[in-house]
Formats: sequence, C-alpha cells, structure tokens
Amino acid sequence: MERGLRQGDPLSPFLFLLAAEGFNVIMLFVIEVGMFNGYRVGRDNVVCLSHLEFADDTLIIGEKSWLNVRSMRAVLLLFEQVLGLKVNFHKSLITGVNVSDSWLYEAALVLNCRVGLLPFVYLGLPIGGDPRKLDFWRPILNSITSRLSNWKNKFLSFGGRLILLKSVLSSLSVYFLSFFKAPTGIISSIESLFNFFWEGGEDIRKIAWVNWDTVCLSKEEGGLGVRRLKGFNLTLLGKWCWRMLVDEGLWFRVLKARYGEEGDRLKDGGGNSSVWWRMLSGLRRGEGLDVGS
Amino acid sequence: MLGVSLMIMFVGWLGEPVPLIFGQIIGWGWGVGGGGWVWRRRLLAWKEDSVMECSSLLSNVVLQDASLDRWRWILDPTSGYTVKGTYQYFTKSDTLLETGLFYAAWLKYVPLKVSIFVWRLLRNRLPTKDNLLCRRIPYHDDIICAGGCGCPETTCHLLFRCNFYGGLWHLIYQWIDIDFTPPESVREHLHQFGNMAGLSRFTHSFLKAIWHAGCWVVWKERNNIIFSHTAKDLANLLESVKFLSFA
Repeated sequence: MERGLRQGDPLSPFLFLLAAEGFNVIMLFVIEVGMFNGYRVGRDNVVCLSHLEFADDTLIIGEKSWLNVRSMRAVLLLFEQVLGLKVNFHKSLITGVNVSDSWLYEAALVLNCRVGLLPFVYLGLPIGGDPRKLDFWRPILNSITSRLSNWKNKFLSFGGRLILLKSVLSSLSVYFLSFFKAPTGIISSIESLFNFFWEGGEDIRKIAWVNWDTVCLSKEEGGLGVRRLKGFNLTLLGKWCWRMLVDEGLWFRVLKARYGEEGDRLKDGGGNSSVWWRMLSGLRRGEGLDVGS
Repeated sequence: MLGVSLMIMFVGWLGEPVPLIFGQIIGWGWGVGGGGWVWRRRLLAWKEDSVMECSSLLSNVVLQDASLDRWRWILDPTSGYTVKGTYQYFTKSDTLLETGLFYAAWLKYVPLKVSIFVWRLLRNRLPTKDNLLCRRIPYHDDIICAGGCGCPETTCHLLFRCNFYGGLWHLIYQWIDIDFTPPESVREHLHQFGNMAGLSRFTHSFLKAIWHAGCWVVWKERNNIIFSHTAKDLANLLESVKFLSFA
C-alpha cells in the first residue's frame, strides 16, 4: 500500500480484506495463547466473541481487564507495523457495558482513543439503543424528512415524486426495518411525510386524492406499488424467524448459547432477555400480525 | 404435550397450520387411536379436540425414511422464505377488480407522469371541478366545463363527451382510420379503444399510448384555458397528440 489508492477505487475493498484477514489471524493467535479474553456468552455451551469485522468496520469485544486493554493495544500496533495500515486511534471508540466511567477513561488514555457512549453505531445501526423509544428513530426520520423536503422536489413531476418516494422508502428505511420493529407511531409519522407526493410540504397539507391504502396496492391491483411499511417491516423480521430454523451462523450460535434450546427451537426470552430477542420471539408466536387486508 | 417432536409453526402467520414433521414418530401410527398417542394422564375435553384436529392434519402426511428432515416454507417450498413473496402474500387484496384495466395505465413508452395521470383518471381522482366541489374547495363557484359547452365538468364529460373536446377524439379516430362509437364511461372507453378487435397485441399497446396522449393533451389544454386563458384549436391539439404518442 505504498502508493495508495484513490477514494472509491474498486480495488480498495479487496486490499482491505487482505489486511482484515491479517488482523483476524493476529487476534486468533492472541486468544489462543491466552493474552486476550473475549466475551463469553452463555453458561453451558459457551460461545466466545472476540472480534467482528465487516469491510472497514471492526468491533473488538472483550471482558473488562487490563490484560485485554494492553493486548488490544499491542495487537493494533503490531497490525500497523506488519501491514502498514495505520489505525486511527482518534476515530476509534471504547465503550463499556456495566463498566465504571473512571476505569473506562483510564483505558481510553492507554489506548489513546475516545470514550463512546451507548448506543454507538456499528454498520450504520445503533447498537444498545431501545427501538421502542422515539429517540431511537429520530435519525431515520430526519434523513427521510431532509430527502423529501429538498427544494428541488418542488420542481419534480408526479412521476419523479413517485420514484423519489419509492427510493426513499427502500433505501433509507429497509436497513433499519430489517433489524428493528418500528413502533406504530413511527410508522404513521413516516407515512404522513409522504403527503409530499400530493405536493404537500412540512407545513402545508394538500388533498390526498387517492387513499393511502390504494396507493400501496400493487400496480396490477390498481395501486402504485408503494410499500406499506408495517407489513414490510414484519416480513423483513420474519426472515430472521426463518433463518433461525435454517441458518447455523455465528448469530444463531450466540443466541443458542444465551437462551438455550428447547426441543428444536430456541427458547423464548424471559424478562431479562434483550429487547430485540423479546421482539423476535413475540413475532415468532405470531404477535402483531394484524397487517390488515 | 405430545411425546413426539412435532411442531406446528407459524400458525398465526399463515391461515392454515403448517405441519412440519421430524423423524421420531415414524411407524408409531398417528391415526385416531394409533400408537403415537400415549398420554400420561387423562386429557381434558379441549385437549381432546385439539388432538382430533392434529390427527386430522396428519392424516395425509406420508413420511419418507431416506430423506433428511428440513424446513419447508409453504408459500415457496423450493427456495424457502423470501421477503418479496411473503410481503405479497400479506398485502394481496381479496377482491381483484378490473386487474387488466389498471394495468393498462402502465406503458413502457409513456412517461411516468402521464401514467400516473391516467391512473388517477381511471380512479376518477383528477381535480375536475365536480371533484373539487365534492371536497369543498371554495375557489370554484362555477362548475361549467372549460370547453365552453355549458355543461357541468366531470371527468367523463370533459375528456370524451364535451362538444369541443369530443371533437378531438373524432379527429383521432379519423387519423388512425377507425370506426369507433365511444361508450359511456372512461374505463370502458379505454377498454374498448385499447383492445380493438382484430388487431394484434402490439397494436393494442400503441392504441393505448394514443389514448394516454389524447387524455393528457385534453387535460393540459383544459388547465391552460382555466389558468392562463389561452386556447388552441382542435387541429393544433391533434398535432400535439400525434407528437406525444410518437415520442
């Protein structure tokens, strides 16, 4: 990587994968010799999580100990030396769960990085937030509003507005909705933003000439083929229920270790399970499936 | 409840239960009174009912010894769960009305805005004066058609039956050299015009495009008359129909 690559070069993800694999090897070695203790999930068949990598987003998970902090620093420095890929410690965050602030600040000082707060963003999703709260959805609401209330949109034709509406729906919300269940209030406030389709704005509401239910029908049935958010949200989440049965990936093993299996299916979470798992097991039992027509 | 690994998944998801069977009960027999039903204690009445229901569900299930167990998604047995298919299942309406007619609004070589215009037209959701009156928009105190014929303006009247704009359609019929008696309603007009007997499907889509262009031109002209008080004559309008439908 002496010469460097231009921003957006298609080669860079591949080069990065090579580097990320190097990091993976170093981490595995450090764990093997016992210099780093990953986070252990579950009581009986333990799954040990130490690092997650996706493209250029890396997450290192470990128990709270000075040994871990020191070897984390050593690994990252070693990684820099070996592969020549500089780690920007200022852009890195250290976040604690049930760890005192003072300890966290000392660790941040050693690692020369910043202290992050929950929820933090990994791969564009806020981790550690509560999807039942309105604040959690604020960023996505804001991004939709800013896309729709752009001054250029006043000069779009009906067709252009339809295309924009569909693209905003599919690109902005799908990623969130495939992981979190949106509260009804959020869904209705997102859908009320779509009054812009009838040339309405943030303050001005125009006549919606066609009922929103009709607009959401497919084109064959006499609608415009716009997605209905609630049904789409549930279907996207249903994919998790399906993958729970056919997939044996890391996420499944973590869930299995945390909640255990009963017969051939994962146990429903009790009161002390995560919000996400409670939502998913509720969905699995068929809660909230009154999508309507 | 049962001594077998039987799961009925997604009962709430799909209208009818989906029995998914695992191997352990092969050969036990699960008919009524079969060896598969062994109870530790006497069943309550409602449990008896659900056992009956269960065994009726299982009555036409045949197990194969050799093949491995796997999950099957009943909406799509080959490729499993897909978000698209499930979403369509959820949102499919029970009443399919005039399927083909609304489909006629979407043509490849017509601009999207015109397609949406036609879609609103077919639903009678254009801001014509009578529609505005229904929604109590106070601006329009007269509901006279812009063509100057003195009749109240409704969608059907404006586009097809007005003395002035109706003339445009006669010119269009002459131009494409057909004999056509226009029916009463908008939908039937599109249906009959767009599916002219004795012509190929390829021609049908062109006829539909001409129909789209005709409506669009009339609507534009009507708006021009109302908002900027400029009017064109029919020959001019016909030219713009030709221009639009060949664009």
